[in-house]
Amino acid sequence: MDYSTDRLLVNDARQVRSTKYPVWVFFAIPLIALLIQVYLPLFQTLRFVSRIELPLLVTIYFSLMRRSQIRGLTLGMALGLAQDSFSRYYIGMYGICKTMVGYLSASIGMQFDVEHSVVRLILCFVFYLFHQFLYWVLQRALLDQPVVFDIRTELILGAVNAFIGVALFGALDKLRIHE
Amino acid sequence: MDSLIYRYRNITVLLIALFAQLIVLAWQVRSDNDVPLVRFWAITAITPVASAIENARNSTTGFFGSYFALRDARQQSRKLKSEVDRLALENQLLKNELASAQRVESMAGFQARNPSKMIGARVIGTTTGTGAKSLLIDRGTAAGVRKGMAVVTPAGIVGKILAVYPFASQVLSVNDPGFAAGVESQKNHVHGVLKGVGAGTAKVDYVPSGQKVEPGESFYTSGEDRVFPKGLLVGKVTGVHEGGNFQEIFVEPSGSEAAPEEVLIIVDPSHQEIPEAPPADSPVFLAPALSTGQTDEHPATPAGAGTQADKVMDQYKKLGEAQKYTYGEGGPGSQPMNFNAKVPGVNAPAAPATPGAPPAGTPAAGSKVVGSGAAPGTVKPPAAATGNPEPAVPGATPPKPNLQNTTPGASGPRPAVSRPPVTREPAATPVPNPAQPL
Repeated sequence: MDYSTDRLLVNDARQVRSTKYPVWVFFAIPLIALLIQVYLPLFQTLRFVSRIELPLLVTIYFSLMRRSQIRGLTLGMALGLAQDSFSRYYIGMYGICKTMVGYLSASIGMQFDVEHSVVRLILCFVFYLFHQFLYWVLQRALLDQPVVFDIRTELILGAVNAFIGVALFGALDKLRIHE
Repeated sequence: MDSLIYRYRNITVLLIALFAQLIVLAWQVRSDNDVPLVRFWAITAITPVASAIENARNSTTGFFGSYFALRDARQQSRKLKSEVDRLALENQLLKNELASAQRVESMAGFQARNPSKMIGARVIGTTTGTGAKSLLIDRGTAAGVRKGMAVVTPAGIVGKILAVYPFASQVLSVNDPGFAAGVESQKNHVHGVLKGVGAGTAKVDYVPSGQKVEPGESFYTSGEDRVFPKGLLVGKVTGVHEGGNFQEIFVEPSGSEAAPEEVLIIVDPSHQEIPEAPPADSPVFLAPALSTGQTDEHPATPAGAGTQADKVMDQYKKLGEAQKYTYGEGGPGSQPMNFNAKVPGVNAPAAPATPGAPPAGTPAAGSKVVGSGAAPGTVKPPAAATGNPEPAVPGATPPKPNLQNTTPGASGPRPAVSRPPVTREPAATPVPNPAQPL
């Protein structure tokens, strides 16, 4: 890739190339993300981990880097459904949200320089808010649950998740196959 | 058509995925059913890994927990060991305190039983040389100690005061070759002179051949040396060897068997009887036979009966009561009771109201007062044998019972008896002086 890293937008769509990863990464990383989400909050001191949406961050990362909308929505749907399986709610709530996030992040990833930390930070923040807002809408519209969308809390959590996402993306970058 | 589908395939797939999930969601909401298959696969995929991680965590935690527990156990073991050491030391100190308390209690009991007035002292040193054996005690002239006073323990005699200083005294031990004391055997009342030999034993000299002394027999002080009052245990005979004119009798002094830590100094001696020896052929200890007609209220010999010494003792008791004098309370140098005072009904004719009626307990006219100063224990040992720097002259006449001018602290040799002989009389038993702690 010959585009400059100090530009947020790519010049040409032809510059967009999919990043490749070993196959096991597509199974292991989502599994670890789910595991952390499920297992670590069991400990009293690690309860805060439940507020970090690692499956969402993994979905965003792979959708952005693979730059394939179908792969992005598929991964998002799989992770969302698996997350639904561990929740007490109906199957499909997280699935729909993450399907949308996977599709949109793959679409946006083709327009931006997704290796730029600022882009990653903004995208993580935006997609986190979008994911939470969509989940809240589904809860109210489909399940008719009187839940409140606390925008202040969500903004703070969105920022936290965005920073964690940038760090996570940097770590996951090391797993990709260099050509 | 194919190109149209291919062109919008991404959005088509998205819509299909969303629609499918909405259908499933709607079905669940409507029928209130679950999709167990999805949950089954998700949980099946996750739980083994979670279980493995949990096991690994438990093992790791257990390993580190065991390590820290072992480290804590080692520290605890060290701490407990030091605690055990401290407790052992404390136990040893407490045992010493207990032994000291028992010795003091034994001495207090001995003091209470013995009619002589004593003060306690602590042994603070020894000046033992190759031959000479002496002790240093922490009582001196400030406590009323004088040269020549006897030093004893409940176990027996220890020695006598050799030199006195303001706050300490030197005691000539019974083992010292320069020590000598008049002694008397328990069974056959054989008299002799106890001498130290420098080693752990002593010997009794001047016992003529033919007088019966048995090994194992006890020797008591005879009071003849005017240092030790009669009746104090000296030791047991360990060996008897026949010689030419005199026997060679070895005695193991009981008062110096173990190094004494506390001793008693007899500041006002009072003689007592030598206890009767148990019959040699008796396999078990037999208490004295119960005398008929003796009541609990008057266990002692009734007045008017008994020996002459009993009569004299009774007379002195009455004299003491008449003068409000308590035996054993006067210290060295204090004014003794006037034994020559005339008390009606005791040693003077009774009141004229009852002329001719002899008062009870009054000795018969012309009867000789015996035992006031000489008996028991006025036998004079050879001067060289007593160890007294100013020994009594052998064969001298016993001093008259004019005790008015006989002061215990007077210069010159102490009188053989500075007070009437009170033999195991509870009324005359001196109480340990609280001002003189052991």
